[in-house]
Amino acid sequence: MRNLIFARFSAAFRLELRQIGLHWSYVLLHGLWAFVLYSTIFGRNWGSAQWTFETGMIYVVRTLISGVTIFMAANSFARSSRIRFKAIDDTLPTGLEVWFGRWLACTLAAIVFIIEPSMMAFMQGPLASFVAGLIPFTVKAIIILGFATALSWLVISLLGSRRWVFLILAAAWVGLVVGSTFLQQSRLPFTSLFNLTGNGSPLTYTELFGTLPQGTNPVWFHLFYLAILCVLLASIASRLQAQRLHHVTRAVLLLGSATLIIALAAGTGYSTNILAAQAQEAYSSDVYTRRNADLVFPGKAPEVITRYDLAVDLTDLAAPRFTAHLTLNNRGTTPLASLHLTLHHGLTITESSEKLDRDGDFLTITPAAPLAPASNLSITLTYVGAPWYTDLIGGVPVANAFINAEGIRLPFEACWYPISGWVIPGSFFEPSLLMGGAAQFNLTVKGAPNMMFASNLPTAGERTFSAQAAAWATLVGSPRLVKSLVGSATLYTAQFDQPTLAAFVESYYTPTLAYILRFFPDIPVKGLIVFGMESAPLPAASTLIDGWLIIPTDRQTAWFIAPESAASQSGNQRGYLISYLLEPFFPESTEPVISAIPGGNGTTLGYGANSGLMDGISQFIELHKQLGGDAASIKQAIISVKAFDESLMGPNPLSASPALTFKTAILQTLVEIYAADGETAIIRVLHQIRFHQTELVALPPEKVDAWLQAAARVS
Amino acid sequence: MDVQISHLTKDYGKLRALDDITLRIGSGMFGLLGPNRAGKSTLMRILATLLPLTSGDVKIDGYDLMRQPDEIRQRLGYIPQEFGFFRGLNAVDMLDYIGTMKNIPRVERKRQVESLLEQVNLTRDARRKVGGYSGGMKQRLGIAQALLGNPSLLIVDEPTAGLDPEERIRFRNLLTRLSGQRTVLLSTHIVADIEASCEQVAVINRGRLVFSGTPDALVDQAHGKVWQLEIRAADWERIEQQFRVISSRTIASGLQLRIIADENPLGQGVPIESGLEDGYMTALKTSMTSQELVHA
Repeated sequence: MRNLIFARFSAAFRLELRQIGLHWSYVLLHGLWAFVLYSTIFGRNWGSAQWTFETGMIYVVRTLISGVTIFMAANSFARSSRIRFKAIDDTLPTGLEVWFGRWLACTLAAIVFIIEPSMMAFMQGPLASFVAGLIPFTVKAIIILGFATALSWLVISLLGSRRWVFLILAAAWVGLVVGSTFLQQSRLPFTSLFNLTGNGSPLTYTELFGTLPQGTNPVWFHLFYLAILCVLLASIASRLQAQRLHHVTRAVLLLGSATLIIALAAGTGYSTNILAAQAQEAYSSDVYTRRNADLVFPGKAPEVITRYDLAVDLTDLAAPRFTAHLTLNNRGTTPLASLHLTLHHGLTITESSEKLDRDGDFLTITPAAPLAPASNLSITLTYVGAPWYTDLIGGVPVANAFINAEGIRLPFEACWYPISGWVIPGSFFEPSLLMGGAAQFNLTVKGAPNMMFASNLPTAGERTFSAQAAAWATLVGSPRLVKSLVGSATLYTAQFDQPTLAAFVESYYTPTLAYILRFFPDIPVKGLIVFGMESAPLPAASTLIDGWLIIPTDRQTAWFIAPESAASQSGNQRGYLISYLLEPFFPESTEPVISAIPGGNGTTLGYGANSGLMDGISQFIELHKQLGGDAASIKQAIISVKAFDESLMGPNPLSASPALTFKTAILQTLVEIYAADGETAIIRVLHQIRFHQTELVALPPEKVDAWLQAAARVS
Repeated sequence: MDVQISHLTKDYGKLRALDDITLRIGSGMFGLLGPNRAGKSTLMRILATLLPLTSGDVKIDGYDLMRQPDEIRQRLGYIPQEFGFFRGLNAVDMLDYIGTMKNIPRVERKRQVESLLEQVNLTRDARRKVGGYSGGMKQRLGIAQALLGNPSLLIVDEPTAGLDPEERIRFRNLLTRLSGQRTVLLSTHIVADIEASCEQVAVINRGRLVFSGTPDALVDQAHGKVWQLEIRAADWERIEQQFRVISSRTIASGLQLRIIADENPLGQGVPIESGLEDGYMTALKTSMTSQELVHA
């Protein structure tokens, strides 16, 4: 009996596969598909094979291939009716095995369409990455394409194989693609679950962390569609049984019910994650509203942490343990009976050397005696857990801070160590005044032997980082992380990106830094700490830490700057990178940004001007480097720079943009000074700007020229 | 093989397609006659397990149609009114596939396919794709597929529609030959097909069974009611409205009509021998109400 069932299943499977696979349209479709994929995608700056699978090819499956599959499946299910074989077919003594064999063949024919994307990924290499990425990609593709096939079959089974049904399927597919835009805007927790095409979904796969930032949602998503696929199959099976046997078997009912429950559970799991992210957003918003008046920006608080000794024990990654020895100093003029600190509410304090009260993220330390002005207090806190916060991108939560067996990401703004003052974790983006100045940092990591760790703090040992003066600390860990020394630079990057980024650091950053430093001879720079990764957990603008410059970069940037890249010819991208290198030399650049943040000084004066100032200096150095310091050529070049800026801003851009106004004024004057007095005059000007930046940016643009000219004459 | 139909009723929404049909079909060739839309195909499709019945009871070889449809399918061969095959397959592959679905073991399947192709005279074209077959060849392949597995019940629904006269006769003869070993249920509205081959016949009209018996008994229905009448051509319309005219032909004096009537039409008719067609028409006429007859 079993043999007969298998024989029928096998015959149906083979026949269907033959019907689809040998049809001219299928072969043509593959040819077209390979051509389109090759001509539109191949040759771009893809990452590893896994990255290609996760950020490109899976979306190709979810949109294009699923669309093709829907129609191919509809055609397949309708074939028996269309060729008028159905009446004979239905009188044959067969069971669900025949129908299932056909469905499987149809799904397999659809899955064959992933061969071309897989080839694209294979060509990206390396082989290990391809092997690691192929199975998850194939499983996801099978689920999505199986779902598309089953959905299509159910629709045809319910509505028949009339031509207008194909129109409905077409409309449904367009609806899936277009509708996803609306789904992303919804606040309902489950809507992004129905974004099958993934249109607008965040591309959160990184070489370093994989899909880790998405947490368990990819698993829930695919489990949901796998379960729904089974529900659809059970629905088709029950319909066929009702027609052929005049009853539905228990096995089919059981399959339908069980998988429906699984689908609901997966949907609930998915929604729960989104609800948690929404709750976290709401929490921050509520604290911001409710406690706005209580917020104390670190730089404005009288209590300042001057030394950190942080120990992170990751022996048990499910329950990470932190020990923080802090030295607090009262910089105020009056004794402090209570001290304010912030620690992420996801971290549970288990021990404290001083009396401590806690309200969410806000800690209040009550020392035994008020802390006198200029005196210190040592505090030891032990806490467990993991700081966790997410961004909701397109309705999908993407974690910014996490501790996981597969990776660790602790950005400074997660407040994974105590920070002086009261702030909302994750809500600010500029750390330079978090400490109200720099502190001494010692950071030791224990456990997680399979991981390499990176920090903005210079390396002091294998798993120890320390700095005499740093304003913040970030910790990143991953089994895929590698550390390499490239000249005077320390490069932290994912294994796959290492060759690309090491070459980039060597060919671009190191010589560029050297070039920049000729204009800043009095700044002692030891070298670069390069975070070569997507979404590096670094602030928007960095500071020098013990003479080290902290630079974020990634593969995409390397590609832009590569000599063969057309984008690099404009110089804009290079200018942008130079400004990254320059900003730490101008600590006051960030002051106006901070002013706008709760707890800041309340003024926003100079924000645009500061930005324009940095752009102007960067562009001058970039042009100087590109044109070999030839003043005439630089003068000529800024005409086209100005024209480019104006083309971005419209006919009267300068009045509309303080940043551009300032940039133009700075660039123009620097070129004039350089043409008249040479490089030493520029060095003098830049020195003056560094120490009188606030004064400069407060000036109206028409007075910038005179200020700079005067600065050039200061000896 | 015994087919027992008891009080079978089939409704499509508010439309009653079959109304309280009770019928017993034994071995041999059984003809089912009826005009278009009489319900023949519905009955055929119910017996072929394609449609559920609304009420009543059908047993085929002792198996309940609603409860044991797969048992019936195992014993069934069906040639629908309209059918097709996978155009890209040849006859051997097509029959092999259907044979597999009918649970015929591989070796036996191969033997049956060869034998049936020979029986239906398709051996020479067996390796040609069926997409290139003529109507007659497809019909023969239809018979071959139905006979796979040697079914004890063969249901043939309007098989000769679309065939030329020669193919029709060949097909009819083939069915007759096959009926020696099984029950062949032949549904048609062409009386000649039944006349030439069936041992039993039933007539359905408007969903109701109006006759069941031997062809001779059906002929007897018209006994003494068939008249030959010669009229002038000008009287045609009047006569046609008044009587049920079976056939007409032109003669020198006007028209010679074959009429079914209980009484001698106009007192001028000459009684003649009745045939199966007369019996069929009489059965249909009898099944109509007097009001329907006026409108007819």
